Amino acid sequence: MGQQSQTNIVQELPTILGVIGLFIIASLYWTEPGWEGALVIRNATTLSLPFATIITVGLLIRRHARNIIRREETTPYDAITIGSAVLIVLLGLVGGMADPTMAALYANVNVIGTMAVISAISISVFSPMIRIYRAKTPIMGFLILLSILALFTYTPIGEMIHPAIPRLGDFVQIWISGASDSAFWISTYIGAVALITRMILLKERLRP
Amino acid sequence: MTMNQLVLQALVRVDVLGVFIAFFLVLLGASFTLRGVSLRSIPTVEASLEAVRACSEKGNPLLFDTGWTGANFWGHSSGLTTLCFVPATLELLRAISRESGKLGVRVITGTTNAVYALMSHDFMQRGFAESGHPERFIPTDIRFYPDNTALNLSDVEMAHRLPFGAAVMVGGHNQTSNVVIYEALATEGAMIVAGEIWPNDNSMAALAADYMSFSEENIAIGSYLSDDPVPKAILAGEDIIKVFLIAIVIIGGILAGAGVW
Amino acid sequence: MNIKWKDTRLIYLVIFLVIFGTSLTPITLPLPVVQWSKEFYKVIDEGVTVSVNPDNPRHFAGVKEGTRVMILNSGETAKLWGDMSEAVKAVWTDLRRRGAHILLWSSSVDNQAILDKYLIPYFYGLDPQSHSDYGVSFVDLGFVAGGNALLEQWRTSLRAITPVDRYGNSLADIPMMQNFDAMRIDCDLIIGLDARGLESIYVIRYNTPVLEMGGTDSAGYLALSYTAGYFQGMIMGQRGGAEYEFLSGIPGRASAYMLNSMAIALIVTVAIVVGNIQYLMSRRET
Repeated sequence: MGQQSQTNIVQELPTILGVIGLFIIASLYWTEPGWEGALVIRNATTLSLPFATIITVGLLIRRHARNIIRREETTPYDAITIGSAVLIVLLGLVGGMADPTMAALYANVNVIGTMAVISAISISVFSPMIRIYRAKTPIMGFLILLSILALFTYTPIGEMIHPAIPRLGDFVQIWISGASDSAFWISTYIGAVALITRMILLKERLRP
Repeated sequence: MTMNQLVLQALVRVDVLGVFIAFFLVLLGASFTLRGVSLRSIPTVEASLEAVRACSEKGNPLLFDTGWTGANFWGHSSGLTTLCFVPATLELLRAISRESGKLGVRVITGTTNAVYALMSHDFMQRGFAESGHPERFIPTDIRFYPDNTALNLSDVEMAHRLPFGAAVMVGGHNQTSNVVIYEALATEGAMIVAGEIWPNDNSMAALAADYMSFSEENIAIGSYLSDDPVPKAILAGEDIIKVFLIAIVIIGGILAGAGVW
Repeated sequence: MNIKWKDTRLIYLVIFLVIFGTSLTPITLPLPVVQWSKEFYKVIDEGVTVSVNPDNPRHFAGVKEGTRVMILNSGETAKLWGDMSEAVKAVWTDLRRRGAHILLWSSSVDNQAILDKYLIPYFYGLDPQSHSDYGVSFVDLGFVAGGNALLEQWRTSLRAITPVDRYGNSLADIPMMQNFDAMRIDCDLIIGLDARGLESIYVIRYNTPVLEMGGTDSAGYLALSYTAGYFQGMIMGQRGGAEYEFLSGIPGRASAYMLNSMAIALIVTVAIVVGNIQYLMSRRET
């Protein structure tokens, strides 16, 4: 029995520590000025996060190295991943983020890659509109009308047809979307408090 | 000083701790009084297990992508919300892994959070162990990407190369970039289950996914997966708080309309 | 060549061609100005009185010579830049024109990189530190880690936490920073680039005027703080850029970019309508 309860406490330790840590760090939002202990814990936690990144990046490189050794079909992709990871790490170690080569790589690879994804978003948003936007139900029909209203509001078309169109679109955006967004977030925050309540009661855990 | 200024002043001075304690006490009370309450099911839970079965039939792997879910210290609301998704999505991963282990489905994950990637390992391993097939757990299928761009591009690449039989994308993606992955998956005929943290991402789920659920529902996935009546009672207790807040809004609206406030 | 007309990649190709084609011949089109954009410009031009905290209303007289403006590049700027670029350029041009002292902070490496690539060189050249404005009317803190917790700390003293700018220069030695330290009182105006959480840190406690800029996508979640009265104005997306160009009279490209948006919106609308007609006809046949 003693052995059992000891095991349970050990099992629950990550969750207990998580709740205590959460409370201490969260206290910075309601004490003014923040107390020193909470600042230390927050800073220590923040500083520890990169170590997890280092471990997982190591695992990432190991996985791609294994793929190359096994001569998987993804070898070119694996080689580029390992090569670029090693290059970036070396550049970072040598010159830091201020290194001109690093800055040029960042600006021309990372930023361009990000912009490529963002461009893909704009196209991918249109894709389902054309693929599945069919008025199969009244709600779907309403959704289609709202989408067209938005398209007309955020481009000059609406104003060119009738000034009432962008005004209606703005009304929907500011008041209806604003209110629904508010409801969404308030519900999420209540859900978050419920989550913490479950964690305090050890009904929700941070380890399996 | 006008009435509304006084009320505003009072509200500003109510500590966040006070609000939390009040909510906590209501929910704690609910955990006793509302035990045994039955809850409606949410699409994400049912559909996620159905997604495993769909993958089994097709003989393809399943994508479990949680994006930005995990601990971060941006210190504002939308960042902290990603933290709330951690226990729920990990429980879902365990349930999916358990089902996948039984049916021999490979699960490939995607995350941009290093700590979450490490935690995924434990939950996934446990899930496969519970299925009776621990040997089917492949640790290298836990994919960590240093940023959202890498995750996005890699998911799309895998969606076309493997392809996936289904995808469960519960978590936080980035400024609607989830829709790029959804469309790559849809092109290959994969079933899509989604539940995003942020409303603008969820609107993309509404646009393109087969099944979706909201942020508040997703935080509670662990409760839906559990047989324990207490978490379900706490979930039901949330409605008490909502009714209270709605009453305040209505009464405040009436008072404002009547010119009292 | 066998063209598959249902191939979704055709959509991508058509949209690319439309953007490319309409960019060749930009035309300025009529656009209504939404209220939050009008108020954004009004705050910069005429000022505003903020009294969210009724104890201590704060009057801001608009951006003039020496007005201390902090720009918080702390949201998803890197991801939204394609939609925000022209608006930020127009507002930045206006701030410089009026003689504002601009202090810039980036919350992530990505956010810093995007401004380094697309904005800073436009105003201050490839070596901003050597520009005559640097230290006089512009200081760049660069990427400083800490998120909104940093903003909490900066309320009482910026220099106590962050003693140097991104180039390692001591803030105490920079002329522009001499009266720019306790952000709760020293900062006359905050402009957030998709920044979140500023309401609880600055507005509710200190009545700091806050303006927000974001992508069209940001409007959904930022509108709430605008309608609640915490943000004094907002500029959202390329449309916001076009509105600001119109309101301020500053020439820019956002107005012309609206032609791209209009062409794409028309194509998508036509595609949706045609798709639905096809769907209705197929239902009648079955």
